[in-house]
Amino acid sequence: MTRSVSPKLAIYSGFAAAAFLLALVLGRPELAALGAPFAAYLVLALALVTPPDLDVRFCIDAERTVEGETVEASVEISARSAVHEVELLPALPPGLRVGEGASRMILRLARGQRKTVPLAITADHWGLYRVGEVAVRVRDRFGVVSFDARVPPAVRLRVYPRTERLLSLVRPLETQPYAGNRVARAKGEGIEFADIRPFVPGDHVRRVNWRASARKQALYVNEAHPERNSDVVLFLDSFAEVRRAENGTLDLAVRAAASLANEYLQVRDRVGVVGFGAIVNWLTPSMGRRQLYRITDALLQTEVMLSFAWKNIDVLPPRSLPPQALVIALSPMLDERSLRAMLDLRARGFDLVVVDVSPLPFADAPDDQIDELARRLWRLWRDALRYRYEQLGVAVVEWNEQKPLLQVIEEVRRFRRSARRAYA
Amino acid sequence: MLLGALGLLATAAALLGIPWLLAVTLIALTTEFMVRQLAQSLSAASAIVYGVGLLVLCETVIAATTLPRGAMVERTVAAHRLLGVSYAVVVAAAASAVALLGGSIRVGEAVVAASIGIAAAVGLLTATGLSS
Repeated sequence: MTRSVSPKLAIYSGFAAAAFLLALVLGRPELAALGAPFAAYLVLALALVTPPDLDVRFCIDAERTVEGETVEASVEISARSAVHEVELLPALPPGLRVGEGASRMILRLARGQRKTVPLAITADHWGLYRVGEVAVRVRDRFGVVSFDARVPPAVRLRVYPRTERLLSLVRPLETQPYAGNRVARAKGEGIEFADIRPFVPGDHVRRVNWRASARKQALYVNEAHPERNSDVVLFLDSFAEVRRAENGTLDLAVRAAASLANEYLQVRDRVGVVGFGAIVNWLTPSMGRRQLYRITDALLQTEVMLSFAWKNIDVLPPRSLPPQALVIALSPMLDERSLRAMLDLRARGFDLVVVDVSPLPFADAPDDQIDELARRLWRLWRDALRYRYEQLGVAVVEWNEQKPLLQVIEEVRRFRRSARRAYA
Repeated sequence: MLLGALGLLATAAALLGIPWLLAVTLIALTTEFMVRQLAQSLSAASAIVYGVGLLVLCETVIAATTLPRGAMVERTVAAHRLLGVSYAVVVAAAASAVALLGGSIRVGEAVVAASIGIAAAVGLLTATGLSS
């Protein structure tokens, strides 16, 4: 523990010394009477100082939580010798804050006493945090000497991004051979009626369409669309972002990716993630709740790092981008590398959707006419860029925090309905 | 009067978070007291009470500045601080009285008196250093 002294040690000792000296020089005992209380106080305080012997532990009820939620935690403190005054200040990283109650506690412990101080931690921002850092300050009986220590962070807390409930999803153009909730375009075993055809040996009798058979005077059977699943790859552009205070384009993209992953996995699609930035990471498509946790954990580690190295999608393993997968790119459309990569994906025949996480709301407001002009040019350049993608049959929808994700999905669906006719 | 006002002003400033201004408070209020003592020849008890009062004032100001805003403070901590100040008042009053009594002893030579004072100060500091 680091030992430090209060400013009053210097003030009191200086005053007492000056008073005694002046009393001697001037021959006025009243001055000594004024300085003596301070000298006596310091002698008493310093004589009674003992180094503290205590143990501080940080405990947390949950290792995982969701943005906006509160986690119960506690600081346990036990003293082997009496502690007259101990001040505890849990130091939380940016993104977390102490919810209800005081963030700073001052306690007193008798010898051998143990106390638990409850603490409510509110997660304001998604991320992977190390919590448990507590600044401890022990003051002596008279507050002249204090001992400082810092308990290092030892507990991990995963804060998952809050997800938005989506009533509809962008339907992938192609399905995969695995069973799922999507009606495939192909004909086979299923529930959704597709067509009728003449009976062939081997067909089940229960599939005979008796009404059609009676009308055509030959046996006809029903054909159905099988229920299959699809592969969805969430392509997260982490080359660049625009940030203002606590929020930025990457934060929005991660929240959207978590929402989409949650919804696609609920309809039994296989979902994978590609983090394309200075650090490239990927998660091959899979399904189920475990995959949701894997995806969310992967998203928590996404960060924007400065890099000038040129990268294209060749760096990705083929399994991370399965053929006929729906690729939903979440990008602020700022970095040339990610723009090229998305064009490359389209050129390779992937069913691509681009959610343009707009950086415009995060940019500073224009100060003068030149700024205003530059902003207009930037906006025009982005419009031209989106148009270029749309010409290739890629749905590009601008998204910002004020717009619900569901609206983006509806805009993509509307574009794809008309684009299929135009570009097919 | 002016010095007293200056002392109170410095106390108010110290309450805002600059504890070093207590030194100004002490100097101003002590000078004020000495001026009055020279002019009116106050009793010995008034010096004791004034010294203890100065200590209590400083303790109160420092206690107020060291209690952080929005902190959860246990009742026992506050009670213990009050108790500590009470102990200090008793000890301070006793020390002040001893100092006054010591002042009444006539050593005779100023040099001898100074030597005794220095020896006492060295002894006090040595004791303090040993205890810490």
